[in-house]
Amino acid sequence: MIEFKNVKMRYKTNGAVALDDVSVRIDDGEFVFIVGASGAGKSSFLNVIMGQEKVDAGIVRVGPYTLNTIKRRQLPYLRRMLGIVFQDFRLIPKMTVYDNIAFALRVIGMGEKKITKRVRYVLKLVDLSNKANSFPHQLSQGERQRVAIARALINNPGVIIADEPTGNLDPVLSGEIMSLFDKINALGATVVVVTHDLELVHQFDHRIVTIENGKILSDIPARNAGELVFKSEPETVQEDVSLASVQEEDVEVSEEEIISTEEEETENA
Amino acid sequence: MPKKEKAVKQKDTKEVKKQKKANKKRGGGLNTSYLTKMGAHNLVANRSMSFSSISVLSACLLLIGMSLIIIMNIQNLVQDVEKQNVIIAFVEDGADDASVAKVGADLRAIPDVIGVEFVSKEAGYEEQLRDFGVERDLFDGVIENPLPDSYRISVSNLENFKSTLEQIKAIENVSAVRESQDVVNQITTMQKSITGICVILVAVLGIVSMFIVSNTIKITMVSRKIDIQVMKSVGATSLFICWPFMIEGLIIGLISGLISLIITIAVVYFEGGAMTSLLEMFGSKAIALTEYLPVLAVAYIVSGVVISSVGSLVSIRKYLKREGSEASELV
Ligand SMILES: Nc1ncnc2c1ncn2[C@@H]1O[C@H](COP(=O)(O)OP(=O)(O)O)[C@@H](O)[C@H]1O
Ligand SMILES: [Mg+2]
Repeated sequence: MIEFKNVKMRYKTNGAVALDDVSVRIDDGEFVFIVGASGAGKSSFLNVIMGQEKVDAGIVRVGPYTLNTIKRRQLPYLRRMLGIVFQDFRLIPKMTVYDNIAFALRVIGMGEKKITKRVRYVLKLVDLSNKANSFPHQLSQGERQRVAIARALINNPGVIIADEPTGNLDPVLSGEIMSLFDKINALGATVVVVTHDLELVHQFDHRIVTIENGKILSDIPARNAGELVFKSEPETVQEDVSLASVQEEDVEVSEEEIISTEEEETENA
Repeated sequence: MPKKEKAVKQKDTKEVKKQKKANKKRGGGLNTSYLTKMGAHNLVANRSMSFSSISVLSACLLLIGMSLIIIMNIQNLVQDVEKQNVIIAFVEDGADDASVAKVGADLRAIPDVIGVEFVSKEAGYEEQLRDFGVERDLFDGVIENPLPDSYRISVSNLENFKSTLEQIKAIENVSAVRESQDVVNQITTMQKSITGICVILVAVLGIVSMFIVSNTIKITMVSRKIDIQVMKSVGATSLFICWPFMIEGLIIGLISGLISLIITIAVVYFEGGAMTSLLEMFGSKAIALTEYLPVLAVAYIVSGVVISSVGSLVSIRKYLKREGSEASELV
């Protein structure tokens, strides 16, 4: 569960107010779109969730942690619960695609054998198997974005947070990635997708939170959101061939692992 | 309200413990072999930085080591001089045996006197003639033995030399005293100033090299700063991030220590003659390299490793502490 109560946050470096009296609650297993114009405060919202920026007022809770009082040494454990796709990707330039993704597993101390298996699997999911040994600067924007997505998924996190994850992808690939998120959501994970691509948002029937100038402008629950917009055949996108073939081969492993992660999380709750 | 906050906090720590346990179940703790490899890899990847760190550190270690060798040799020299019989006290000619013995006892009673050796009139004369390289028979009957009985005295604590000398002169039946106060004075002032200079040099060099190493590593931080932020954002602990840096510092320190050691051995082996002849002027000799080699090796490697590890930790510390927009402000 992610909960904001009357949160105000301004950047100390330049005094810019990024969030102003934001109250929102995202329950476990939800799929939420965060939309808003550029500079509205969407990325700042994510920065607060991952404990990268401290709030000036209000209360923020993420899972078992209260971020107002969280200790510096607890931050790594908070972040391991979250799979984050950053707007600027945040890949390590000196590391290959494989190492960049594997890094998130090495951080939690997983053995190399398991790591290889997991990385191969997610690389297939994002259709990058042939780029495993490339370095980020050798990739296109869209490919880098998919590496960032793969790294966010690798750890089977209970919460996926994606900041403009389809910003550099063509419509077909965007659709594939979104339906991948849908699938992960169906398996129990919470998914938060930040985007300014309203057309994409309207292809799905999910809750939509709109931010403007650091304030929540509207918060429309799933069914209404679906009624409000014209649905543009999301089914055809979800049935995409390449993704389906990957899942048939490997989905058992992934589901099992997602479920075992889930158990741990419920144990914690 | 405060009560409620407290309750939340307690719950948090329990949750963290559970999370840590879950993490262990997933795969275990720190992948040290991976992290160590990463440190070695960084060392090669940033080779120009590694090279300058090693050069600076080696130069500093070398100066530190040379200073220590000089201090040790001077200490040794002072001890040698102390051991030598620097004072000879002549007994009044014609004093009876009891008086001569009493002079010996009085000498031994002086606190800083550590050795007293009686040299009879005869023995002293013979020794002196031998020193001149002449046969006694040659002079027998021609010149009468001019020397009185004497005592050779060794003293410790050369800084008290003057007062010890006064005490010896004051003893009854001591007619004259021969001493080498000039040499003693020279040596003690030299010891004091050289030791002082060396100690200051060692301290300054230690701090300076730590500073330079940390600054050299800091230069590469411009690119690593981004890496550190990324590592943190995917949940890396501070220890995980620090480990490769520590390995890097460790290897730099180790290599610098070894280089300094090899250069020192070469210098002492090929250029040690100058020091030896200098020391021989004072009747001492240089300490053999083999005597202090193990100590020197340990000192070099330990101080190299400590200086460069502390240097790299200092440069990474603030990058670990700051988050997000605050971290991006760091230069
Ligand atoms: N690191 C930062 N330092 C200072 N100000 C920032 C930083 N990041 C964002 N801002 C400011 O905060 C506001 C919200 O930005 P952001 O959250 O990035 O918007 P969005 O992601 O919706 O485009 C903007 O006014 C922006 O200039
Ligand atoms: Mg943004």
